[in-house]
Amino acid sequence: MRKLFFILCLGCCYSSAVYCNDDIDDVIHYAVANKLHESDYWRALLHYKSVSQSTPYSWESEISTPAFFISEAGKTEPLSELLATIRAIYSEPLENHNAHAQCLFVARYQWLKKNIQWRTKPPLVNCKKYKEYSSNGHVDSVSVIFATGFLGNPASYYGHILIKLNNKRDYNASGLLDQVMNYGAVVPDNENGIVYVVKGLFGGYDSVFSHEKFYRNNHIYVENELRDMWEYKLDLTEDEVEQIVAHSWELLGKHFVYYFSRENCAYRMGELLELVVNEPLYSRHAPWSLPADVFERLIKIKKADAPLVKEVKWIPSRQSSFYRKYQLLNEKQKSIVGLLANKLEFEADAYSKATAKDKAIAIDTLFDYFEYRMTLEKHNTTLKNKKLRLIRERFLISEKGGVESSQALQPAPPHAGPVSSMLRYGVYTNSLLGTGISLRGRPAYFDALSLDEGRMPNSTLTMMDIELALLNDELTVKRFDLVNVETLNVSQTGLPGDGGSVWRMNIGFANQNLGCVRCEVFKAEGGIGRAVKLFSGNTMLYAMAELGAQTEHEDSGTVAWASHIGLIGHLQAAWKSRLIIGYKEYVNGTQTGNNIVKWENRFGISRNWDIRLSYEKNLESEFYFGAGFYW
Amino acid sequence: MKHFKKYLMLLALVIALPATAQAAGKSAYTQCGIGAMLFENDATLAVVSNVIWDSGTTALTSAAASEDTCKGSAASAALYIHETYSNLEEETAKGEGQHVVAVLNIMGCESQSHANIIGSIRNEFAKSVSDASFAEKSTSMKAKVYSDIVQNKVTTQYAAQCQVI
Repeated sequence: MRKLFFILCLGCCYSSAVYCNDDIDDVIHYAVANKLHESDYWRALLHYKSVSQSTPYSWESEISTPAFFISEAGKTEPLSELLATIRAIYSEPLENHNAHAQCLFVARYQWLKKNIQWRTKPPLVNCKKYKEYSSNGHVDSVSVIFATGFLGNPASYYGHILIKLNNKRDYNASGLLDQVMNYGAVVPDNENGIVYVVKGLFGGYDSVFSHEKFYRNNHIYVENELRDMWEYKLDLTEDEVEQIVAHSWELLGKHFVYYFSRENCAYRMGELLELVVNEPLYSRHAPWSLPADVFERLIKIKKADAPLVKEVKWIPSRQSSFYRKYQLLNEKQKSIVGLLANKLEFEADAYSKATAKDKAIAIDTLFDYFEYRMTLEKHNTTLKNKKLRLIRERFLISEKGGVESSQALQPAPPHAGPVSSMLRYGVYTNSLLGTGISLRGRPAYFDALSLDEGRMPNSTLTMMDIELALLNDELTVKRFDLVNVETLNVSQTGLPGDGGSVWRMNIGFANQNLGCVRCEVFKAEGGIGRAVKLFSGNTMLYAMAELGAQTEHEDSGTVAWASHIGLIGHLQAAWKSRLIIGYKEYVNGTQTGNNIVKWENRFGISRNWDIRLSYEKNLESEFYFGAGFYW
Repeated sequence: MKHFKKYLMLLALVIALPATAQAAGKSAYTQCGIGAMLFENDATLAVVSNVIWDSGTTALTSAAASEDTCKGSAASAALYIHETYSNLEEETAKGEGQHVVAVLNIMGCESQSHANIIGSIRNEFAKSVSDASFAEKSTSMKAKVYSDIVQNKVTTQYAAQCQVI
């Protein structure tokens, strides 16, 4: 160590002529003597992870961009990087000040300033680019944004995290011009879907931090992908905000290896926030990281007895904004919206005789309606023309429509929704096989009967869902869903083009039917259909046609079609139920078709537990009783 | 940039025909983004290429078309207008909204003058929208019309209230 110290100091003398003096040696000596390179904060700034659990520990940074390290050995040697950083901070700035270490590694410099008493101050450097990025010090708070799940991309099923640097200046009240940090995989154009999944799961992609103005994220998520966003504003000190801003700057453009399941946006954004939040924001043990879990943890953290999250704000998607505005309409306004949504007859009495205020409110609601439909029906040019006619009509009305608070009729936030990981113990009795016990678990996320808060009601999104059964002293895998997605998108307004479609996709394996054990078949199934809303609330009736492929079992055939109708809703606040009646037949096998009946029930309204009771008939019949626990 | 080449070719074909004559003077709309980098002397193609934004989700691609390539408030406003055109169109018709306010903030306009400037933009934009040919324009060209109106207002009628860089 001493030898290394002298070598590094010698290097210092060559590299920084002006500051090559005893003061720099003192600084380096102080840093080494106080083992700053062993500090948790230094390791966090450099993203070092232990690669050896035995003493002495060895370290390696998870960042793969060479430019992130000043020392050639910096990726694996925290001390070497620390000393190189000190030397670089003392080096004379060249013509381009932005390339100086004080500007490139602002968080490191800020931390060293706090932890080292220097007799000679490092040279003054004008970090113009950093000042621009940090809005010249006008960032006064940090928000963590949750973009709800997007079923158009498997990597986005579980939502996404952004970090927003809030500019305190009055003119940016909407936050649209705030700087936002993003993190994601770098995926080549036109990547094959299977390659995408495999490489995403097994570290085949690099990932990178980037930044952009919030209006762009707002456009992509809220407008293009119809995803609600939730802004969690943190109660941080000025110094803590500065640390986040500074380190986020250091991370821009730096590459990591991307793993869809764990080292993803939740993991990296959690790491960044942990610089100032002294509690883990992602699981250190689980092989997965979920965006929702970060918010689940954030909302529970207290700082000096006050919640770390001081405000939760809903940013509705176009679709949600339309629903909210529609719900706020009176009957007269609804009739105008209904009229114009079907046909733009401005001369009709219901519209022409309405007050300017009612006209304005109705048209403002229809703006959201048409934009929502245009997003779903990209090639429908009629909608575009109708929107333009509405715009022209709106220009004729000087009346303000009234700006409703975006928080009116706000749905439950994500942290009030289902908790992602589940383990369920149960007992079942089969009409042919007898009585057994079952254990079912999944890392994520929710099924049709889960709590409806903070998600699309009645839908299913589960991954790696496995059920083990112990029957007659024999342990078997009863079912395994690699992925199971089902969306029941019921119309909220009854207007043309609003919802009503349902679809599902399931890949995994399961027993062929309820009349056998060790009769697993691999299967991939998909279905589409329609749904209608019944009564009030989220009760719905739907019908679906399905097609599936599977491995063969006793000449069953490998391709099957099926159809079913389903009814799902709450019978009581604490009792949600789903009834499915269907029929399945193989196209290319010798087995005859059979009826399938399934009645599932959930009891309880807790986020941490529930009781499940079900009956299923698929050749044989089976009753099930289970208790589920969520964390 | 996602599907860059494919979209570039298609959009060039679609948009280049109706947009044959751009103003001889440089529009801020063609001075930012990769459009300006690639097609500095061809306003049409510059606008076209500015259309090509990655619509990415969790995955990211390069941030070539960022404000790093757009200097000045006029260029920043042009980028912003392109991205948020549908919101701006609606809010201008309504006469209020956070997206419209944000444009004026980018242009450095005093908040006390916002109502007047928005009213003035509204009057001007209403004329453009009512023109029969407006329906035939692509979204990017509609955004350019809007951008030009805004910049005209803040550099002439409301120059004193807007410290345009």
